[in-house]
Amino acid sequence: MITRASRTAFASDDMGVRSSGKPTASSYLHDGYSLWSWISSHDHKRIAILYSLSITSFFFIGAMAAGLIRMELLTPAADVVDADTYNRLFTAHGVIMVWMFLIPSIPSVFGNFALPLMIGARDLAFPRLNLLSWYLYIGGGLFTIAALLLGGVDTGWTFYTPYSSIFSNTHVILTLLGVLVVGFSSILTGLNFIVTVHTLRAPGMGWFKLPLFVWAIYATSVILVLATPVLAITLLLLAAERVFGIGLFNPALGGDPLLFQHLFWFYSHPAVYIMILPAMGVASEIIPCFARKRVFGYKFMAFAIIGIAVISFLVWGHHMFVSGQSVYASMVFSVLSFMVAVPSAIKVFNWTATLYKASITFTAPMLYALGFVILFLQGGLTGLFLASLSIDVHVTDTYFVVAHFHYIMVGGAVMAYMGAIHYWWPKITGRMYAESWARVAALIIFAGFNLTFFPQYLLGYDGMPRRYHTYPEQFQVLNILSSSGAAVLAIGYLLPIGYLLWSLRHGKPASDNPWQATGLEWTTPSPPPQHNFDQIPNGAAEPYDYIPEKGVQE
Amino acid sequence: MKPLILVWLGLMLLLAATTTTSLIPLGAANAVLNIVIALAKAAFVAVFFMHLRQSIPLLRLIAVVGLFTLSLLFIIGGADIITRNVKPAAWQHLVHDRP
Amino acid sequence: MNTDNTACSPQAQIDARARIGMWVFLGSEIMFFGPIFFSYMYGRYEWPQAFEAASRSTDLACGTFNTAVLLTSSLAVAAALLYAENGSRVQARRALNAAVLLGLLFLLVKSYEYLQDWHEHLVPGPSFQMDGAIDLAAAQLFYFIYFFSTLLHALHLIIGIALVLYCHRYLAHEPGHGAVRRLEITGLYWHFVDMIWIFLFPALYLAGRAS
Repeated sequence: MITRASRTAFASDDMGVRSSGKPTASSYLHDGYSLWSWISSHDHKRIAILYSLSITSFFFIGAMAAGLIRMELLTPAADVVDADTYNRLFTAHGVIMVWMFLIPSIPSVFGNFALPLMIGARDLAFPRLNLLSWYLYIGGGLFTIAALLLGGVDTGWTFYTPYSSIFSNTHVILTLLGVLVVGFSSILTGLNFIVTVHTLRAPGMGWFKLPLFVWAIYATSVILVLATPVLAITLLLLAAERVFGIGLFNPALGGDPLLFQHLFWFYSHPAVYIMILPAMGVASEIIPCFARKRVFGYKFMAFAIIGIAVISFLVWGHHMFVSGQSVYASMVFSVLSFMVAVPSAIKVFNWTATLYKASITFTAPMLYALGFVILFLQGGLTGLFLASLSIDVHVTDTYFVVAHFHYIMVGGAVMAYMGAIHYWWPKITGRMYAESWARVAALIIFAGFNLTFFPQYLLGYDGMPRRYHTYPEQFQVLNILSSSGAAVLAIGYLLPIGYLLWSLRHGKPASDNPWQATGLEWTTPSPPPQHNFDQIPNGAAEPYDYIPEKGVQE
Repeated sequence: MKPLILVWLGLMLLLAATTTTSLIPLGAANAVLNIVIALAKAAFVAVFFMHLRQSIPLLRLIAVVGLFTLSLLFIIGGADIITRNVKPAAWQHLVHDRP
Repeated sequence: MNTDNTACSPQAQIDARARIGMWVFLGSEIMFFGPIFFSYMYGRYEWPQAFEAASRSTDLACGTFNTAVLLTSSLAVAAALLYAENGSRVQARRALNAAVLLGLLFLLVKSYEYLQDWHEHLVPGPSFQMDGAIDLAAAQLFYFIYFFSTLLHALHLIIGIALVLYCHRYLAHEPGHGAVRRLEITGLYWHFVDMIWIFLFPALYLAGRAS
């Protein structure tokens, strides 16, 4: 039974709005107005906003690199940039999008803002460490920007040796330092979240009362803490090799380029789960709310999150099928890679089952969450193609792989990030955004995304290699489609900047719980006071206590 | 205080054992013995100096999870290295000294 | 674990948070040092003769002595915590002094070793040469790992010494339980640095000794 909820169902604010129409003076936004009060704040909510501003800036820098790439690929010839510049562009795009945007995005913004509220805590376990994490992020980001301004790096975000250790003449070490520092920032963030979830839950909030977003952030944090140090040491070894000319990764000097790849991918595969698990957590918050129905199979969802995190450490060799890795190891990695799809599939089934016989409202967050499920499903299925050794041999290093991971990262993680922005916007800012504009933007993004990336599956399957700035004539039509899609995507991403900023001044003031959602973060005012809760709430309620028959109360 | 001194004595004995046995030609057993003794020393430090035994189970779990994750790198990564079929190129002047 | 903010005393809660935080950090450090050992295992597997020959050229006396020094320093830190927990802060600070001195002694001996290695042309680079090396490239790989890992370890040891000195001062000037907690957390870190060396020592110094 799907009730046709009125368009204004969630826009009405007759649930306790303040008469002045402005956020109350005691909110965290009013705890000091100077720049210094913001950048020296230990408040997890302020730090979340600091992160969101920096992450958004990096997103647009990375997006501009992508824009130039798609411009170049409109024609088969090299007419916008030369080969060398093109290499630097896709490297910049990869490095910035992976380390400066995707990995910190949902954890550092929404993990920071919402997680303590969701568990009924006043802040994270180590608030000062949280601020240090942000400073490290900015420091690492500055190193990366510096490398970019000095001409960039042309090794690809994967820094494969021996090119990166011996032959590349670009600012490899500066970039490595940037990534190293940002990595350290994320280790400390993960540490903070783990200790917080273990020690600061409200009374009565056992593990199986936790919102799935908290489970997701927790699992992400465990991966962050265990995998990122491997990256750190690998990048240090690479830097040392570059400086001292030793041959740990150089076959001519007795070393092994695959040693680098093993170490790199041991981190970088779990890293992609760092990027997607929080997105799954967001979907598990949004979908029950706007379907007015409890998540189907809560315990399976929680165990699936843990299962994904565990198996993610077992599959890294599927990035190395054609690298010279032993065939036996490749077979083992292939089987394990199929296994990791199982918990992911369980989650997709359960989101779908949550929608069944639900009272669905297509608000902007819900559009993003549904888009996430559809596109993540697609990307995940093509992951199975890539897990098969025989197919991977043909499509590796082609646009098929590019399409696969963009479906997960952009279609999945970025959509979920946008959904989270819209879902928690009222709580963070105390304002409602313009719902119609938001829905239009979501649909434009969905359309633009598919136009951009679906042709890339076909291109890859037909053999167009990745990281090439020229290509044979026969690929041009699909490339034009893809680049047009990128233009549509750009519009889609710019629109929210407009209406969200507009809402800060002119948006309707938000009530405590504009979505009538369950969860402790909605029991506190929008925006919350600095100390989050006047009294530590009781955490014993079952999560997602929605009743679809009731629909939305008018 | 006395238990700590005893642990220290144990550690010193293990150190003496590992150094002296390494001077005796035992073939592959040398490496195995060294690893075992190192693990024993680490266990002593973890259990007695770091109070792992009287801690809450969560801390032991954290230690185990860390070690387990590292072992994945060694086991599966190692599986690749030892099952690889390497054919040196004609121009490679480095000769593998593996028997 | 917890959930209940009211059952434990506030101090016990802060202690628990600090302990879990440090153990999680140590978990990350294991993953930081682990890959170095993996690289070492790779080298030992691919070039067993060269690695064993290179291992023989390290200074066994210095290595063994340093291991004993670090193990004793761990005893000192553990003793300091015991004294601090029982309220004997003066003895705790004395034990910390011993730990610092032992840590500095380790660094001194290590520096002496590095100097020796420099004179014997064992530093990887153009002037590298090693007698009895079947192939120089693989021997250089060993020494690269040797210098990289011991320098990284020494850096961690220096941080540890700084932390111990901080605890020393805190014990002297802050009478509350916070000083004891800081010492416990620092102790965990110190023992971990010791553990890294416990594994570095046989890897770098003891391979192929009997040949």
